Amino acid sequence: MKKILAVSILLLIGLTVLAGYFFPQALGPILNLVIDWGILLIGTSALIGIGYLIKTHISRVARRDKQNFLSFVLLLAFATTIIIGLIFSFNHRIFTDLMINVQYPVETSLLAVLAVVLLTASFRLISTRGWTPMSIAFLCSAVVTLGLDAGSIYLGTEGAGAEILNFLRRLPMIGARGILLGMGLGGLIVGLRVLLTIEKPYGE
Amino acid sequence: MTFSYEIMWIIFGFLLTLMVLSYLLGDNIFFRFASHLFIGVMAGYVVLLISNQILWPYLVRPILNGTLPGVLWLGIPLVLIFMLLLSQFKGFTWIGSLPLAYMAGLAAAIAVGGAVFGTLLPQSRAIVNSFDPAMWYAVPNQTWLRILDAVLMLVGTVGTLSYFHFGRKRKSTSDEDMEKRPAILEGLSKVGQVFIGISLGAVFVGVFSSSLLALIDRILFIGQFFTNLFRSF
Repeated sequence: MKKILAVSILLLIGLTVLAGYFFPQALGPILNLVIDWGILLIGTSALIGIGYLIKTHISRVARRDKQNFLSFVLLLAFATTIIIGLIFSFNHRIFTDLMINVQYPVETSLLAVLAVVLLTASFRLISTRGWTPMSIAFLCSAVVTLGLDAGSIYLGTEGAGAEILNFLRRLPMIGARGILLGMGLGGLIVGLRVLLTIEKPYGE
Repeated sequence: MTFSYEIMWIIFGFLLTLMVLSYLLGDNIFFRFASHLFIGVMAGYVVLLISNQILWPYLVRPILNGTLPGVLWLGIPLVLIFMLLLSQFKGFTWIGSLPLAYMAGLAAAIAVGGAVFGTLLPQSRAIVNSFDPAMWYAVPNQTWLRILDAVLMLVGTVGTLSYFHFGRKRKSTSDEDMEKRPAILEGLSKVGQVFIGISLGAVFVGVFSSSLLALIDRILFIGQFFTNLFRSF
């Protein structure tokens, strides 16, 4: 009974949304309602996920685990953000300052670390995987794109030179198009498998 | 007052920057401190964001200010939310399958629609359009270049697709049987490897350039911090 009810809900919602692609005028209001409810459920799921994160760190602090001090920092940061957000509004200067001055330095520095990691990883790629057609194409493309972006490769603005430059700029689009189509086919297959109840991500 | 407030944030940002960049020397307590602080603040921000942008406008406000039929309609998501919350307790796990089925149905339908109308049709149409004779003859003396471009686009895209395996996992007894694919597919997948490598190389440069800019920004920030510090003495 439980299984039938879950499958019925899945099919009802899935087919309604799919039908909405073909009859947007007729099903528009129902579609809005279904999507709004879905947004509410996804929001609640995210809150439950954060609840689990907080619960894990509270139990780490309570158990006095190794490096429980870091869990305490996380809990303190979480509580401070919530309290400041509740006392002041979202647009208040103190709240935006807190968000920007934590988010910006950490995210930019992580991106900076990524630059070094990417550089070492690209050298490691060649040394571990050797000279395969993919690694050679990767390296050549990286060098050419870097040259094009930096303006080091310049063959004029008109004529054959410009055509060659345009061709070089378009070349990565070919593989990207294939990858996009592959992702689209993968998404289509997974979606259909869920809608045909071959896959059951909601449990038995 | 404002001066010391701003200085406080600059010092805070400077310390966070140093803590994160210390990861370049290896995983250490300072990096973990910064990441835990970041996760805590972001988790708090997400809770406030969900409350302000989702729960308040989609649930609480319509209940407080809405009409009776509207409030009655909200009974359905309220029951589903209640089920989702209840499923977190031992003994009630099964009850969560209904709201999860709702979300799975919604996500699957959006994925199917998005894949077909957002990716497969426009991308396939772009390849087909490149074989339009009107486009080939649009620019004089470049007809063969356009044809070459279109053929390369087709071969590259088919090759890239051939590199992926869309089949179901086979219950094979031998490794040899697993690797058997038609020779034409194998040949095309080799061509596809080259095009994937070219695309990934271009993506790599894009990401690398952005992260290099971020590195320069942080180095400049640290330099500016010390310059201002020495100037103030």
